[in-house]
Amino acid sequence: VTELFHMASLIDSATYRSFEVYAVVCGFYLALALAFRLLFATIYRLVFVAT
Amino acid sequence: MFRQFGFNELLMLLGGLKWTVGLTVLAFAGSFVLGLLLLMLRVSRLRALRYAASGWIQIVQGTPLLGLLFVAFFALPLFGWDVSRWVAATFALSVYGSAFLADIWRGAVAAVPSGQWEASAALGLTRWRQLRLVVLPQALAIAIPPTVGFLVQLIKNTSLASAIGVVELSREAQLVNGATFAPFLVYGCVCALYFVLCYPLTAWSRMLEAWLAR
Repeated sequence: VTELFHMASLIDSATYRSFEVYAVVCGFYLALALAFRLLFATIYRLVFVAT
Repeated sequence: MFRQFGFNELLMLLGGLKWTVGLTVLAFAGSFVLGLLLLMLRVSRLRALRYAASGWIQIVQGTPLLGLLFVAFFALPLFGWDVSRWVAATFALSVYGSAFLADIWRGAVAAVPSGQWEASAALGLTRWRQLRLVVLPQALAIAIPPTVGFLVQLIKNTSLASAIGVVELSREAQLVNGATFAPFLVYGCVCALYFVLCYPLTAWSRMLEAWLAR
């Protein structure tokens, strides 16, 4: 499956900059996780917290 | 001609299982120590320490374990610390586990009624002794079932260490599969072995929960 980690291993084998590639991939995942956290926190505030 | 999947192949898988157990024990020990340290920071009275700990937990929980494994495997040598696959895997799994255990335990500490903190403060105990003598013993009972539950997850997650070439059960399965070309049989056996390892722990965790809720 050509998801993020597969692409990472392709780039890794092309460039041999393993640490940089996987650090950037981890950064992507972290950004995604934090973005969703923010999104759901916002939904929670809008829906469940009385203003 | 391919090798037949026979008794010898099963023995190879059992050899891999041994290393899976070893890696789990090392990773759990590391998670335990690091997690305890993170918990101390997380319930500290200093706001900066609390924020630093929860920021760290956010970062670790927001990255996939596979990523942590790769980063540990490739980053530690960059700092001039030439480590084996085993050390890198143990390190990454410990960092990963500590972030989750610290969160589980923080929940357990928070579940102890705040009156317990106040009462022990009224007895003149220092913050550290309040935590150690009054709060932690009560939190321990709450924390044990989810901790055992997390141990089960940790066992299953050690399979990711095969990605950086640690020869545990999953990697051994790839090797055996390469020789026998009987993937259904090989991975069926592997799943059964993981189940045999995890199910008793799950049952024990459920028993503990029932026993503590009595």
